[in-house]
Amino acid sequence: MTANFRLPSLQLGTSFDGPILPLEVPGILGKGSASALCILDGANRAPHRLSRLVRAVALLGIKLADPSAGVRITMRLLADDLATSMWDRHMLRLRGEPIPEDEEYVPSDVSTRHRMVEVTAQGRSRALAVLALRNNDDGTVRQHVSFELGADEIDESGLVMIGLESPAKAPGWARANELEDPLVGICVARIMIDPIDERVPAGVSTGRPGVEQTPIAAANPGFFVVNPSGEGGPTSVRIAARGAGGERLLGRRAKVKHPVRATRDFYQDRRVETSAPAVVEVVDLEGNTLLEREVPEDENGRHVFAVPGGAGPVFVRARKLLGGQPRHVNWGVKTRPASG
Amino acid sequence: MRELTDFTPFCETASAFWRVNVLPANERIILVEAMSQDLRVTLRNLTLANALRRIEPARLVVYSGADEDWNQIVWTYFNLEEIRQMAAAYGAEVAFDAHELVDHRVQGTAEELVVAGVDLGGELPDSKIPGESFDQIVYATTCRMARVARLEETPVHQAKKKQVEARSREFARIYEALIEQNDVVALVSSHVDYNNFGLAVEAALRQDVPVLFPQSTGGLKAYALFPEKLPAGMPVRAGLTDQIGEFFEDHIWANRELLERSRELTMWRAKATLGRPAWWRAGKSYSSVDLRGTDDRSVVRTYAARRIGLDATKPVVTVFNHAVSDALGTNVEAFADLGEWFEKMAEFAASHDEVNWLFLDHPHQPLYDASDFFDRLAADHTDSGHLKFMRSMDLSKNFLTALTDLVLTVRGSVSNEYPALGIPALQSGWSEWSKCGFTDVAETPEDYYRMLREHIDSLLAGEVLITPEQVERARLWAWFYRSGSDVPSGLVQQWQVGEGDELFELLTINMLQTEVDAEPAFAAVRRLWRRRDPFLTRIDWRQDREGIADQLAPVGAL
Repeated sequence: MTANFRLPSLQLGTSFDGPILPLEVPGILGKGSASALCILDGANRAPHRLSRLVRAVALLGIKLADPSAGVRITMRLLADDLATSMWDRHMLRLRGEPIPEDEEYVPSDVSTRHRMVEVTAQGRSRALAVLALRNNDDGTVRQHVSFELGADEIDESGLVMIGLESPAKAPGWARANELEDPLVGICVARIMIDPIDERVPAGVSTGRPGVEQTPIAAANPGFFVVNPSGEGGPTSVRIAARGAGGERLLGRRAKVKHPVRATRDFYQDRRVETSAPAVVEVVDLEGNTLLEREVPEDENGRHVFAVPGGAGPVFVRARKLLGGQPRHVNWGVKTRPASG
Repeated sequence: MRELTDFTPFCETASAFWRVNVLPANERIILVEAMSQDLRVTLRNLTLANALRRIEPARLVVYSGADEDWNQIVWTYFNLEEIRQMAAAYGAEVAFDAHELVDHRVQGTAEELVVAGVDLGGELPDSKIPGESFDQIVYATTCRMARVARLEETPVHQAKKKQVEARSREFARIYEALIEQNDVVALVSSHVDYNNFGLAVEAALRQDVPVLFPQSTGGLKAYALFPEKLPAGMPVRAGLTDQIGEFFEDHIWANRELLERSRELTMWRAKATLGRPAWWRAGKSYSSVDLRGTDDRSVVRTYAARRIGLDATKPVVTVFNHAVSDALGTNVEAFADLGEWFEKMAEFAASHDEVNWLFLDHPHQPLYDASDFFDRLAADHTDSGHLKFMRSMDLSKNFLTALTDLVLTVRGSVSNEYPALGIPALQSGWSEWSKCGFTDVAETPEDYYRMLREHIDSLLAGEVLITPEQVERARLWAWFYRSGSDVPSGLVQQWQVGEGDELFELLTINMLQTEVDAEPAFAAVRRLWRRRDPFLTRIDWRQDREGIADQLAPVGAL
């Protein structure tokens, strides 16, 4: 790899620059005032969280105490009412419209829309996240993404540069109903950095809360993303239609009311034909379609397909073939390493 | 639209305040421009004029107004009645609508209007302004009003020019009559460009009347043009450039050791966009520079270059476009106009792929360009992979700082900001600071191309283009601009207070509760006037080192 051009006259520092206290690993960054968060671009430091994104692209530079070892990075991303409020004001500014006073402000209805975030580190794509805030979420929806950074990817400065942006080549079906400038307002609530004592497993982000450890990919937004494991091998994805639900299954209330009971309650209303195949499409970050086929349902009501190794984060749209037509349903999603 | 409830009570207080804080008027006059919708601008002009009336007895004559062009292109809430009210409170004997008068004169419908003993509505002789100066002001005003980089032979442009020319002739007549037929102490104007401002300035300087022009930023910042100090035949701002360079050398650079801590503090604050000047990117999170060294710059560079599509291994020359119709011809420039310089740069860059070229639009270009100048030029160069055209505001300051290895500008403030970070800048003409020794300055196209080639060759050879001394000079200029030449005064308050009720409350409190002795604005104006300095200064720089230290009160031992 050719080295970057370096300007010999550079003098960026001042004698008032305070010392940076690098983050010891394992460590957690949870407040914007953290000294190890040494570069913040396209984002504001948040007083009680880590950061709020204010631009279409954001960068978070984190200084690590020991750059000699690889790390596992886990990010907690939030979309909440404040995110909606910031996004509203951003859009008003873009449109040149006046910003209303707080007492006159009425939030936009974003309950059918979602945000997508591509997470990079050291300039390479690492993960995707979807955030879909709904009216029954008590004002917040969270998603986590995890990825690994090898020791050879961190130079002796110990600086880890995490980028957040909108995935440029997301498929059209993922773009449908996405908020414009989707990053604006998103909260990076915390970043946890650990040694790689265990490899990062493949992960799923659906935009919605899960139910009992199972991510739920709701009929709206109608797709989910799969992030690769630390080993980078193929990932087996197992999806099973949730027979009933709609929004009722997905909010915090669903955790109080057992999902099986909720399923039973609504089963008559939202019956899913359990013997139908699923039409599955998998698209990578470059816009390449890696998979587009019908996946039959097994005897346990599951559809299983594989995301090839090395594909990186991918977008997945799975629709149930009902009456000959592919239809969006709610899926429970699980991943595990694929054999072979 | 803003609503002011404290303005009228403030005017009553101001009226009482100024009645006892200036000398009684005599026959002389001070001409004060009040053609901005922003009351902070008029407040500064009137305060400066009254500070002068403490040492030079005079009457205040205020000229104001806005025409249809200004109302459509620049202003959104111009309120002549507010301005008249403020002018009266500051002791003005008259505040007349110069734009309306000019319109009537052009139409032949002007009626008698006696201002400072001159009937401005009656027959007035032609101005004796040199034809070249008049044509230049007409041309620059037409470009600004048409929002174009240059005029073409189109019916629309020529009609606009004809209209501006007719109005300019009348502006020149009334300003010249006022100045010629009165004993004028000074002219105070927030701008020195365009027909409504510039023709008054031109008439004043030609008749040996000093011009003070406050800046729309900070506390009380103002430049001064003393006719005897201006070189003949040069653009209006050129003499200032020379004087600033001399002052900087004699007083700021000479006291650099004393200013070391202040300089660094200013730089540290400037990186976080605290304070001024930050009008193009004011107060936004993406305006701060977090980078501290080569390592973090390199990491951000990789990211930024990948996003934009530049080769991070090659130097990046960043070309900062100007507001293409802004104040044309008011200082020395290497190329015919701001637009031509930018076009020539794109042409040059197209055949120089040994480096990357990043062409940036001006953050407020729509206010100055209605011709899609930038987009059209960008469209001509879409094939060149090493050229990128981008909106400036689509890049954060971190990205720009990480990418830029050489700054090209005519007179932009980037030629101070980047050298202060050790990134060299080449100017295609003069600016306020271009003789302070931290940029390279070309005055002809030939010089410019030669210097540009040399700069590129040096970058590729890994040579240093800006020395540590130049970086120190750039930081000292940043300090001087934000601190040394900015006078904090309770009579104007900081610009960031805004122009709402809060401003008028603070001004009222200050006028009612603070005794005026040694008021910084008064002291600074007195000093400038007596010494014929080129700008207001916060302290007296002609004292010895100990005296300067006593005034600066630096952190450290006595």
